[in-house]
Amino acid sequence: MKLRLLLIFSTIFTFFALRAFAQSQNAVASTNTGLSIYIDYGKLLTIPTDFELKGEAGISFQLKNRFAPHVQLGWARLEPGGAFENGSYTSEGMYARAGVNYLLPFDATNSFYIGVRYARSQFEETGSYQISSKIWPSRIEKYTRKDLQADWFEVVFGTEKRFKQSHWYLGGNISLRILNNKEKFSPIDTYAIPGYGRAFDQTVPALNVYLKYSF
Amino acid sequence: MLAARSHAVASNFGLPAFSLYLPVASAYFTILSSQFSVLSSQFSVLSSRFSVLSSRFVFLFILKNRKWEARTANCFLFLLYTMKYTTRTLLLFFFGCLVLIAISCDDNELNLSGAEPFFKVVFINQDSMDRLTVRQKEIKAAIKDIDDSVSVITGLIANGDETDYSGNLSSLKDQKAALTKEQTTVNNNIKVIKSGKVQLDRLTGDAGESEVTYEDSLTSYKFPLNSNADISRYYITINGETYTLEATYSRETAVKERTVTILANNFDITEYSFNSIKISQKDSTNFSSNEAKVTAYF
Repeated sequence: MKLRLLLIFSTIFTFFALRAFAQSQNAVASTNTGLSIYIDYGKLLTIPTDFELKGEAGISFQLKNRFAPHVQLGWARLEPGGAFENGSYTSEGMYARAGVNYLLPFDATNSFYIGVRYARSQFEETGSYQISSKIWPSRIEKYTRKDLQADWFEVVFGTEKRFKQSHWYLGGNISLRILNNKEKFSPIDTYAIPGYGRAFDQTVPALNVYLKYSF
Repeated sequence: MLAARSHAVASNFGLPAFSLYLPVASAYFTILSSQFSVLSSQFSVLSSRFSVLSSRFVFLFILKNRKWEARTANCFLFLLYTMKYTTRTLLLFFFGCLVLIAISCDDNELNLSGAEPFFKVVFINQDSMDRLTVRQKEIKAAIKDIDDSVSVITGLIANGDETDYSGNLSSLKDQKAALTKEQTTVNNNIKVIKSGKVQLDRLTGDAGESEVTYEDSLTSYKFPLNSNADISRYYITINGETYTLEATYSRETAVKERTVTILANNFDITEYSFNSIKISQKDSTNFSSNEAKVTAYF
């Protein structure tokens, strides 16, 4: 709860501080309007790992009024080793996010933004566990759940840096994901949702880094 | 005005060396955090153009021309200046997280222990206990007889009897010492039997797939229940003699501390070849096997 309050206050503070500063920087900062595409290169770094595999890209349109509606699509295959002590777990699926950012230019090359998003994931999960015994046959169980859905909201605070004299931007954002709805299973509930993270946490912080090309 | 001051601070600092960047970034976040408490209680700070924030200063040590210099900077302007590096901070933070995750995600080996249901069993050798109890009473009576005899002889001597009873008294004393020694042994044996310290030769399940042999005596044994059925039948060998025990229960799957476990509720002993059985159950709601203790008298 304290962390959540901290994030809310920090977001409010950052928004007002940056807005005030951006107004005073109008002469320096400029907003490039138009279409942009971006790829989350941080997720590509998960390719060599054996616990998850992710990919995410998006498209956004920067308006003159500093609002930037955007859509993101992603795919993830999560195999958290710590899901079960005596078993294995895999969650795999697609997810999409849609939302709007509000740009807060800092100077000629740096800018900040805050935004809100709605996200939805469609996925399937498989799991297995084993219960062994010294005198009885081991119990091995497997389960598969298909066509699962979950949705959540995100509050985002991000920053971008434009490479000098180019259309390329390097950006990153931190976000707080707030789970809205997911199916519940008993006794073994969903452990991870592609695009969201650990399903048993009602709020999840996240960090994304991306490379953007603005047309 | 604010912008001009910001640029002035920026130009004073110059571009920080990469080695300086991390401490500067962390200082920025520390300052940012420390201001949240101010904001939560004083929103007026914002409307008065950060008058409170701008009155605070931060001390910096920067490396310039290979020499460390101490500087003071306006806290808020410093904050804004360092914000220019937020993209890189996030980048560094991201890579840090990735490295941490990679380190923490070593090969996860399955931990298969502690997931099966069980119940505790204590074995009491009742036949031996009965024999020892009888002998205990016999010894007690014999010692009492010896004490009575010693009292009689002592009385005779006190009344002026001049007969030499020293041989009798010595003999009685030796008998009592021998009985007391035996009494101690019997008492100890009873104590051991009461504690349930018995060595099982072998334990097998009805499935007969494998067996457990024991090398040491234990006061209680943890019997695993069959996770694949609602009934478990055991063959227990003690001192070369085999006894049977049958338990029934209803299974329930649960996840406890990231381990998928099978719980056995409504636990009961339905059949046995021991002399008698006593079940003490702590869980009076679900009658969970993990909370049950069975005492088997043989």
